[in-house]
Amino acid sequence: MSRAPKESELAVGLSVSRDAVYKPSDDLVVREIDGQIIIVPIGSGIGDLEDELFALNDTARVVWAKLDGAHTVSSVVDELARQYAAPAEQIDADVVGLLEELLKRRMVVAV
Amino acid sequence: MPYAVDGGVHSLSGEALSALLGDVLARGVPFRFEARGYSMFPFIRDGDAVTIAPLRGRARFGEVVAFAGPAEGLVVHRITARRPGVYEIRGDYLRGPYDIVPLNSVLGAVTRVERRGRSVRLGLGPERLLIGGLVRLGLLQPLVAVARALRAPFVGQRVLS
Repeated sequence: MSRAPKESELAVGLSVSRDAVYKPSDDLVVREIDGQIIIVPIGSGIGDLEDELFALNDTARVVWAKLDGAHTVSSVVDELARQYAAPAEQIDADVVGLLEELLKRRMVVAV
Repeated sequence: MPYAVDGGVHSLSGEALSALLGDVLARGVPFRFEARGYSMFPFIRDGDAVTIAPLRGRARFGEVVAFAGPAEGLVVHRITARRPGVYEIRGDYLRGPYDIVPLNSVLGAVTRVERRGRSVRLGLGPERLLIGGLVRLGLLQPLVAVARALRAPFVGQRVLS
């Protein structure tokens, strides 16, 4: 179940565009540990577990896996809407919300 | 919260910590984390923030290094000897057998220790040679124990005049 984004939705918050394609930043160490995705940013020149260690929850993990540098945000939302029995609007909000947070932390970059 | 990038404190196993350390050092970047335990007392204490950097060449005698221990996961101890193909490594405050660690199993060396926000240099500079020798001879732990016993009666007492 998909829907065309409204014009006002094309740019949201921290400039997350539904037409944009995102991928994980190169300045990360990412490892799956005990079923969790653990992310350590290294862009500052140090991998600092004291200050910057991130774990993605189940929802974030599903979205993260789709941020492959090949699919637009809209197509990621559409794909997740087909896979999961959740309202497309909710999925859209989740994906955009996560991307805003990832962009804020410089953990993803637009391709 | 439907999505989360959780930057809070995570309890990682020693094995997981060791794997992350290896990943970060492989990118040529130092790794900072909170040390747990008392095996490196008094130079590294429980709760100190320890920075481990990639090795430049082989580790040297007296250096404090990190390696993946067979049981505990990540171990941070001092090199007390080098033999063909292996290091002898031991915790400063431990008594008992050395760890025999293959040269290429050492992940990195401790370059910085912070305690309550302040850098602690003792144990990482040239004095590491003396400390390494004392640890190798099994003398550091008794010396530290004696020093603590002598100091203990005065700790916490006010001087009245």
